Amino acid sequence: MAQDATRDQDWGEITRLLHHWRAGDEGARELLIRRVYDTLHQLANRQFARERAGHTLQPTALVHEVFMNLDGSNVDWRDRNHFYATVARAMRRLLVDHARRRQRAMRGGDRVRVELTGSKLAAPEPHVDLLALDEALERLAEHSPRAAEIMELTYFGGLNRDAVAEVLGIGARTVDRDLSLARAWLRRKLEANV
Amino acid sequence: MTDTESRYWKELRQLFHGALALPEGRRREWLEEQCPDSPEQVEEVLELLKRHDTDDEWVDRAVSGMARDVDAPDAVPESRQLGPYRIIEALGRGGMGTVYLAERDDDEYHSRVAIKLIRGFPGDEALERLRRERQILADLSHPNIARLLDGGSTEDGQPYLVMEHIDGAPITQWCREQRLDRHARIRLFLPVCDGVHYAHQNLVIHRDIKPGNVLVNREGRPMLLDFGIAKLLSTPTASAEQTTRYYTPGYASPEQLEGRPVTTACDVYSLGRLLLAVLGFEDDARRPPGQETLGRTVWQRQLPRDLAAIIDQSTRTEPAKRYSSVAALKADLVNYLQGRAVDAVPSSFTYRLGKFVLRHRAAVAAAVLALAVTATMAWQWFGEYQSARLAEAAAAREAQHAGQVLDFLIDIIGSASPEQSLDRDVTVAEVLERGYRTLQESRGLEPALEYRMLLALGEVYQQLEAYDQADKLLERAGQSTEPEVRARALSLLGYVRTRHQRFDEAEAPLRKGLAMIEQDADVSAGARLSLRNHWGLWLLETGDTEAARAQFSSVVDASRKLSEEETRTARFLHNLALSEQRLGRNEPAAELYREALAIMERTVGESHPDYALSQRLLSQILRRLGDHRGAREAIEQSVQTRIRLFGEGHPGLHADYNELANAHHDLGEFEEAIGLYEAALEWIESLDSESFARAIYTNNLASAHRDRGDPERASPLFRKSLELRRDILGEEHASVAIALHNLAGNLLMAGELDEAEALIDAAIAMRIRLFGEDHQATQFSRALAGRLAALQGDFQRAEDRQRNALSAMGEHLPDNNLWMLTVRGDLAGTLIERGSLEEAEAMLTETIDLYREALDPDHPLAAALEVDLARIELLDGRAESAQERLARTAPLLQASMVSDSEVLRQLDCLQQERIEWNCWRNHP
Repeated sequence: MAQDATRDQDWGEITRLLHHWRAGDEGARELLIRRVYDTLHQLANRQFARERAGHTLQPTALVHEVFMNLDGSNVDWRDRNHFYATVARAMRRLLVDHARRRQRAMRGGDRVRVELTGSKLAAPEPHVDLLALDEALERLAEHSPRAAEIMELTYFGGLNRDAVAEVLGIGARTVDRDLSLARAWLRRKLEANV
Repeated sequence: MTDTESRYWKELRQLFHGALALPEGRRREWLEEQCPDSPEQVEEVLELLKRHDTDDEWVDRAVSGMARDVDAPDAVPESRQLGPYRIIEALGRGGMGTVYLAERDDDEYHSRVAIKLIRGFPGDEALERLRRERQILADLSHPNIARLLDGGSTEDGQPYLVMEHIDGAPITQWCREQRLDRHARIRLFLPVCDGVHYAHQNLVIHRDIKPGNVLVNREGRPMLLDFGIAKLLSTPTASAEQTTRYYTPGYASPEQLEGRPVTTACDVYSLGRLLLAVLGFEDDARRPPGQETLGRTVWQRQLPRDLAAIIDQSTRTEPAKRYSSVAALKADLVNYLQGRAVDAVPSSFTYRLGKFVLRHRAAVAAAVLALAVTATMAWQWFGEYQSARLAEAAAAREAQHAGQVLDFLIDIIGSASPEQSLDRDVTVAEVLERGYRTLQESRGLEPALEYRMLLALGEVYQQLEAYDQADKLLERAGQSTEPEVRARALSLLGYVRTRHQRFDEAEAPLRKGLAMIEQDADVSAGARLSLRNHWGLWLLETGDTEAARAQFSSVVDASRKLSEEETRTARFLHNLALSEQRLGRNEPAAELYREALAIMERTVGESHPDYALSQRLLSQILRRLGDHRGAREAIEQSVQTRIRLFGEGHPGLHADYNELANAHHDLGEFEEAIGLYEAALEWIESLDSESFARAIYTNNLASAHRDRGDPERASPLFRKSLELRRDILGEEHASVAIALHNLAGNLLMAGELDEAEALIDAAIAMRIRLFGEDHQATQFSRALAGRLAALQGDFQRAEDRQRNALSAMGEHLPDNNLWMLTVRGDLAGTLIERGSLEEAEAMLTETIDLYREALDPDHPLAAALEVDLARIELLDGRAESAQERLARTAPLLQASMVSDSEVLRQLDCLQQERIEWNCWRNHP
């Protein structure tokens, strides 16, 4: 496949950007995110195209997949964590974009949605609008950028707390503490929306 | 750093974590005190706490649900026909694909099936493997397992599985709807175990047991779905990360999550979690365990001890420590149902009150047995001094009495055993209350017997620290005509009053008892030792520490010679340690505590008030010796034990809260410390006594506010502490000097130099009078005068004072002592102003290391010194390294310190490369 040929090169560039980012260059991060966004998008589309029936998209699984797709398995773990952080941001954007497109599509009425008659087997899942979540995360970021970032890394990046702590340069205890409050806060915000 | 929190968030965070450290019942009150003017804020935090407590995975599930919504078109396969099956409707979607209800479309069968379309398109090899595995699964035939009927691929190559369709509800939902009681739920759970065990015998592991995979059909029969499907879906080359996604939070075993090999032990684990859910704790089951905090979780409190132990045993992190098979798990559940002892051993963390009742039964039995032993010993005395006949008669009577007392107590306590009060934990206090009433009401008891019972109950009350009740009972028991009973009652009464700080009232019974044992031969060695021991305590508490130490030392020796009662020796060792501790000999004291604890672990076990007490004092000593982690471990053990014994609402827990707060404080967790100090204060205030402890807690609370950079909040508290000490102790006292010093130091931080100066002078003068010039405390106050000089701008003088103090203190204190570290940090600051950057840098670097070593690597006080270090780098032209250091330090400081604290102002200034100190000294 064509993609195989570009892998090494891709990864080389990504590593370079990662290093710049770790050295404090936020511009490098933005580039990285765009880069990853594209890959993520391709990958997601490829999956959607093939799996028409009952496709389920799990953000963290996809993040891992992106990672493997770029063949980053022999990367230094610190790069790896920073990379996940990038993917988390890209993932969030991708999902939000999707949700927006879909909202437009539904308004346009050009899409038939098959309603399920009942999901007897599915575990109860709070139904929350992704855009509402995005919005709530933005609000959270206004109050505490760090807490919002921790949430993003955890939920869209699939990072565990030690990795989050490493990426943000804070203690694991701080991650735990921020997470517990931010989770409760976000839930309260979102429940108010439902 | 752009990472700035809003004021709203900062307050929210502090309130949230402060309240979280408190027991649930006390949060509202505390919050209301914190924000008296803002009931909305109180409500908000309470709501957040409620969400935190009930389901902190909610967001997790919402996010995964959302992501699914975005891209799941919910389409039924276009043909609506798969092989011979006609799709009727979609039943639901899981991590692996969508499940459809379908009908077999030929005339012979008209059976309904469930069809699972698997996401992804496997290659040839994987398809082949899938076919092989499918065959094994199809061979599983058990009444509680949904059959795998068939499988195939769609036209474009997507594989699907056809399974027996179970028209039913998840087992948890079923239990709820049918309002099954606990036993019925367990009985329903047993056939689930059968099904899993059968599969294991056929070498199939389920891998994904959870309520959604156990449906109860219309006949009420639980059926396991999706056996082994998780494995079918993971390719042999899949990495752990890939397969993880099929696991269900809370139900997947730790080894599954880590991608280690999956064994039958995984299913044992998931079954344990499922059992928890089936018993009505679905939310807890969904929450991945681990990161246990202080105290038991709700389900551990609410489930009967044995049942909780069974769940524990099934869900141990280490697979080898779980039940060896599903059959063993089931067998233990049957034990439970039939009221037999279970094999499961509760982990140390999940002791429950029921356990305590059992232990307590043993303790009381032991106490009563001690009476029986006394009888034997009395008989020996008689044997020596009286005629053998008389002795025999007496012994017979003793034995009968002892037996009656034992029966009586065991009967009361037995009535609280788990079998007799199935759904509720009965506190020991309630049990005793019942016993006490029974005793009051019973008529016609032989007086001697009644005194014995009074003594026995008094002893138990004393152990529970219910001093008023104990006092009442023991006073009456002290009127017994039996020397043994009288001696013991007097001894204990003296002790209870000493503990209650009623020293004058304690002296009389103790002296009476001591006089009695001088003359009366009819008192056992145990009672004699007990009296001497309690006399030692009285001496200790009234200030004659050396005499107390000598008393304890001889009691320990005597007790060791007797050797038949090790528990007693442990108690005496504890007291000896206490006197050593009071004399400032920390290391021997720590050794003695450890010896006492080791004996208790061997004999009475960890669920004993004495054990908790020794741990608590050991913790104090370890803190003094600089072992802060050890100290926190010890105090947590102690508090856990005591909460377990007494319940969260016990007023006597104030000292525990204080100690626990100290431990958090030492580790730089100021918010938690503040909440706990306040809890301690509240308890002590509710006790309505002008106790000295109140002054201590007030001081500690003030220090925590000071340490997080909030001198304004600390000042009134330090003043209160000073006032309390003066009221209780008079004007001139070592403790008053501490309060003077602390208030002065705080006023310096707040910028009120004039008042501070007067207080420093007073503290120095008092300390010279009390301890002399060379004493470390005096020198520490002199160092404070150095800080004052620095704030007045006289750095030469500041340096002299700080250097002198430091070298004098160094004579008595180790380098990692907190006082030493404080003065070194101050001196380094002075040196910066004096331009001695090199020396300042070396001193700061060393001090920071010592802080980290002595307290915690993540300690805000060390971080605060890093800011000074960055300042030196800026002054020295090393801007890059300085900014890097500041950026690294900022998050911790921002999380720990209040927003307008001096250190954060300094941080801001330095980040803008403003290095002159009036940038941050002056209040905004």
